[in-house]
Amino acid sequence: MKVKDIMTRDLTAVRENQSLKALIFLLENSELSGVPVIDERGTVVGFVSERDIISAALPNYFEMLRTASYLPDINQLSRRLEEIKGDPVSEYMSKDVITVDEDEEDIHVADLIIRNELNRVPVVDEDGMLSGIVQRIDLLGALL
Amino acid sequence: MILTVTLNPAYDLIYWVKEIEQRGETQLSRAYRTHSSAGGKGINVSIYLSTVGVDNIAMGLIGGHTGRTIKRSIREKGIITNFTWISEETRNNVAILKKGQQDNPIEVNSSGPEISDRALNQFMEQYETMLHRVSCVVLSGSLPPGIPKDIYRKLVKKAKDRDIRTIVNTGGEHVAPAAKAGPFLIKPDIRESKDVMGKELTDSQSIIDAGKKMIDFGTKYVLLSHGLTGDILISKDEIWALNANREELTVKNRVGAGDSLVGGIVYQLTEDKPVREAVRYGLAAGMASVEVYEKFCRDASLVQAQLEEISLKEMGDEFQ
Repeated sequence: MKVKDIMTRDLTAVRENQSLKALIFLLENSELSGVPVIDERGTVVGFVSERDIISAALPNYFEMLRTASYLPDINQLSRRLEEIKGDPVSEYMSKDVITVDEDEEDIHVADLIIRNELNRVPVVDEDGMLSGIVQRIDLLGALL
Repeated sequence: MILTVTLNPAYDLIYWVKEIEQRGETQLSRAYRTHSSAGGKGINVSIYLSTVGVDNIAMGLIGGHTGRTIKRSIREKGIITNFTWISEETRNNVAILKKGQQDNPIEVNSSGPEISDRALNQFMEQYETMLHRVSCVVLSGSLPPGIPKDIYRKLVKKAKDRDIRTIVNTGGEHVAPAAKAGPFLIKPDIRESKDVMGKELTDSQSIIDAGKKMIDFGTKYVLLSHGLTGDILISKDEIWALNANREELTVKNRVGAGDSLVGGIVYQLTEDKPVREAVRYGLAAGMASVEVYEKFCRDASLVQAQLEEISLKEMGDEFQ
């Protein structure tokens, strides 16, 4: 099976210059954990997720999780989010984004997702423009 | 690739009832048939296009549970989605079709959620990005509160600046600003008011006068309907009358008929058909949709049968 047979044809994305506040609004309302970052033509230039926002607000949080099982101070997270909410997405996105094209085999995407511990992989056309997304659940659904 | 824009989407609920009876202190009816689907004129065009295999992207402003339902519903039909999220809940529209009076439905449409400047700016940015990948834009429907009345003029202009064909289907006070931007085709929605460009559409001559006014503004084609079985297509040099050789349609559901018409036109234009033939096909698609319970007729043979009934005739000099 190919990527085009299982992908979700949704172009939900953010632009590099959008604020973290706008990103959080988008993720909350669209019920997504992360979205591709695109330029003005729709070319994928990055990927940004909830995890990136948490890392930005509490840089050591994920390291702390390995030694403690609780969030040390919720107010600290809130204060820090308030400080950075106006920052552009470009400051926090992953720039070396992994993408696939529509004609790739599903096994290749499954391999990418497992190896890189990804939830979602952007699908791009021959010009690098966003054409959809493959989610881990899309792959699992296709395997049933 | 086609882009449809629905600034005021809705989740449509259609009920077919036999009677509405007075029961105690309430007027009550039990529906003998119901239909619910994502709606709003642009989304309807997208759904039509997906049924005939035309790739398209649906854009618009959605929010809340209803917005998510709309998005999920149209994505399942193979339509590419790129919506802008708003804080408010997307509206529901209700149509009640009483047995024997299906051609005169009771429609209850809410005006839609208030749109903030933030949401509108976000939408405009997404719209401009989408213009990099489409060849035709369909702008359809009413405007929710908070959206400037000349928004269609701006959207048409941005598309025209990139040599992208635009088709506008809206009504009332939104027609004139759109016409002034010079879209490829405009189809005024005259369900609520027959006043177009300050002219009351009462006969063929008044329809042509209103159409010519829009042509003078730079619109290439104007399509004005008179009833479910007739259209007049007006361009700078030609006027065409399209008429079905049928006295009456067996109306089951006229919700979505105008959107089937627009969808049929767009479908035929993607097949490189001349505009007047595309409009003829659109009229057939609209008529076929009226005679089925669903919003769209998925049976191509029924559309073909309607097409064979429709004549296309150039109107004489007396109407020029």
